[in-house]
Amino acid sequence: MSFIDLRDVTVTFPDGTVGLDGVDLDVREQEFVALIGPSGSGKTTLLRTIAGFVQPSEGQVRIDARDLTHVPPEKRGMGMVFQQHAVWPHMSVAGNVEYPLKRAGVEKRERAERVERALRLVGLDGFGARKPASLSGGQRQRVALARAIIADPSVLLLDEALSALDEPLRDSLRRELVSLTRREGLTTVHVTHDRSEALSIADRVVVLIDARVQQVADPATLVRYPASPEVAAFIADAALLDAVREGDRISCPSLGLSWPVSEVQVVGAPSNTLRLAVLPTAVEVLPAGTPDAAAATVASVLYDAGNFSVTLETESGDRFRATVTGARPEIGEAVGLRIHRPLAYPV
Amino acid sequence: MRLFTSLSLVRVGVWLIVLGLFVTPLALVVGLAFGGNQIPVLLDQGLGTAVWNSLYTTLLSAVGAVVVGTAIALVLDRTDARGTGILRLFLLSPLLIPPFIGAIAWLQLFGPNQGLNRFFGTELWDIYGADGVTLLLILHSYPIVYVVVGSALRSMPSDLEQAARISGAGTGTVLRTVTLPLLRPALLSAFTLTAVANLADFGIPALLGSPARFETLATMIYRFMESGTVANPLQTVSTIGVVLLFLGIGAVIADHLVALRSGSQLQETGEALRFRLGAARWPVTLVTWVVGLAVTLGPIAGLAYRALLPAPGIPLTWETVTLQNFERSLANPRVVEGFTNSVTLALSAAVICGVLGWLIGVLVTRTRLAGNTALTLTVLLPTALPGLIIGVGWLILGRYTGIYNTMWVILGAYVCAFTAMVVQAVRAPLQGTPLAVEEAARISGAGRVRSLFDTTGAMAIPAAFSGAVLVAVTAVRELTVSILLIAPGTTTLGVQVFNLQQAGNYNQASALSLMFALVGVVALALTVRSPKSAPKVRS
Repeated sequence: MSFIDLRDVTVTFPDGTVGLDGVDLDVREQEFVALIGPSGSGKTTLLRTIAGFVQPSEGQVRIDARDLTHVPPEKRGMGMVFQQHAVWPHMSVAGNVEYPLKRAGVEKRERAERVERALRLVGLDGFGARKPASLSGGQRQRVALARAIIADPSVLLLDEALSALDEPLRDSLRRELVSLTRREGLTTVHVTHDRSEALSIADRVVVLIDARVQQVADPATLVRYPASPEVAAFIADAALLDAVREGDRISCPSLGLSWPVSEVQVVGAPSNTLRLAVLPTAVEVLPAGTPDAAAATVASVLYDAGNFSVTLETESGDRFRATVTGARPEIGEAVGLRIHRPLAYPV
Repeated sequence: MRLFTSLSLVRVGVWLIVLGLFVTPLALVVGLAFGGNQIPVLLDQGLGTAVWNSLYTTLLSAVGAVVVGTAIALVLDRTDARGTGILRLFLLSPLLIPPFIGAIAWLQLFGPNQGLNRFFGTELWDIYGADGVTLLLILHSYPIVYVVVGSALRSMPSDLEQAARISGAGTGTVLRTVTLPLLRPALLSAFTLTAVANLADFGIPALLGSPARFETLATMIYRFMESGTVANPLQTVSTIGVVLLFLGIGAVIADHLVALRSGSQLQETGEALRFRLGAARWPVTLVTWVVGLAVTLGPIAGLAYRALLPAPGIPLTWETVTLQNFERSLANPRVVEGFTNSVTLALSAAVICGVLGWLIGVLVTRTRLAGNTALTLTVLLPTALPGLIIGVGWLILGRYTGIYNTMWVILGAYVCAFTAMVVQAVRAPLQGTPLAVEEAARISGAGRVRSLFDTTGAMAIPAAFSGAVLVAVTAVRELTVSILLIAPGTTTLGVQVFNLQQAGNYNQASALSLMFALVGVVALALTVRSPKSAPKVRS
């Protein structure tokens, strides 16, 4: 069981694009960390840098305080599951799973025992002699997982490991993955583009935007206190608005709404020009014409577990996500909206 | 119902053309062979030796080509050796020179008392004989292996190798346990392809084997047709032809099965992993560069040295250098005639092969009709056959139809031999195109045929065009198919060069070969780019 420690890691690709820009990251022993961000934000690059497939141009990658920056992937003692499972089609299931043990020079008897145990752990008892071609997508991903954990890796790396699977298989494998990594006490780094997946399974979530780490926090903190407007927009579909502070009130000219400073959650240093992030949970939908509410129309409605997830558009063109209970709103319907305790960031 | 009928019409038309141009000549060869027993005559003429010679040069050269081609593919596409971009062009250059031109070129360097052997005043190596034939066959077939194995390497998901790395495998182990086993279908396919091509090759054994009395099946056919050593030459060579025909059919089916089995379950995922060579980096780079430069500059130097000399035996100095070989060969009326004929034939063949190959390619990849596999195999069969057999088939067909002694018989043989190139070019991009492309046209109101030719058919036109260019470039420098079909007035350029060389006019033959080689390099360098512009829609 190991801890990961990245210091000021910068990756520049041969064509000059910056893959990672001064990334610092700590992953504690036995911790499950999810890396998340828009596509092209550098999350896969970060994972591949930890694995050793990408060489940082600056900075250090350390595992258990040992500098592994220039150690090739095969000497890092890690396990990894790839998006397209990467199960070798020319080997049997057992051949795939025992491969890391063979490379480590484990003798045959012990290999067979450990393969059996690993296959049992991932729910593939008795599949050892099968060829990967005869397995379903979910089963192949389990083979890849067994191969990644069999040699007791210092770190388990998951690169979009569940993304190629269909629901509801994905959901059940997600649950198995969580209980497996906890039971085996694995230090795990999981890259995903699925926000709800990251929030639901990780101890801590790392948000990457534009090759930089924007925030590292546990899921609850991340959702309630995003560190920047961009994180709020990415994680929670927050609407972003410009606002100004006048005396002890903060007002948003485009909406015609204002709040006492005490009712705004200011993140960071005080400033007169602000960027507001409005989470869907902060939006209250009211009948049209309600006093002190901004006028808006319903742009879209989705049914979501007993409630309705709606998009509202104001006359200024700003769009807000909100949840409505009760009767189904109609598209085009006029409503009023109020915002409670918006998040404000100094510009 | 009307739409269905029009698709059937297209199919019937295509099948009629294929039966006439592909099946008939080959059927005639088989029919004639079984019309009488020529085996005793053949055995008397040395069939046993010829079979043995063909067999071992073919197998040795195919194994050699697979080893060399795979090693080059791995070095160029999977390691950090330096300068691989330019090296790739150098190492592919033998592909751009017809084998018989290559044989003429290396002959100038390593012929007895020629070139390097003369320069060093001692017999370094005598190119005549089995070793020369085998080496030249390897040299002219390893680029095909490189193309096949290289594309398999590129379509191999890189995460398969990365998974081995993270499991603790070093460079050599990844290669041995993952990369090479996954390449097995490609290696098998490359082996079949090169073995068939080398079994069929005529130019190399004719130029390098015959002077040393080293006879293969291909040169034996030529000997029977050219010199009246046997009573019934057509029937005799048809008997050899049938043997080669069955070998060719076997190879096509084997290749088809390998392709089916390996399927397309592997898809591209991201940048491939490059192995670090470490301390071996510079030695490997150096060796690869030496090989690349030798195979490119060697033949050019051999031809240039010979072409710039006025006559054999004169030392090469500034005073003796002359361009008169180029002038004389270009003024030679037979060369001019061959040139005109070859260009006319090549352009006509390119147009016909382009249209026919495009039609067949679209039909077999984009419809699920009975007989598609048979159609594909029939059209691809000539690529697995010695050009001489196609020549013999058309010779017999020409006699029956009265087109013998005209250009039509050569044109028919070219279409039969080269349509496969266009079909291959069209098939590759179309196979990866999702069905939705046509379905979108169907749902928009296009009929079955219309939807086919408006969408995928139109998308395949650039690929068909580059296939047709390849046909033109190949046909204009072709020797094996036409050598049996020429008549006074219908000789081709390839045959003229071959005859000049055989007649001992090395200087003019070299001058023409040099122009051949350079024109080919330029023309093919231009077309190498265009397949990339072919449509590539991925599902």
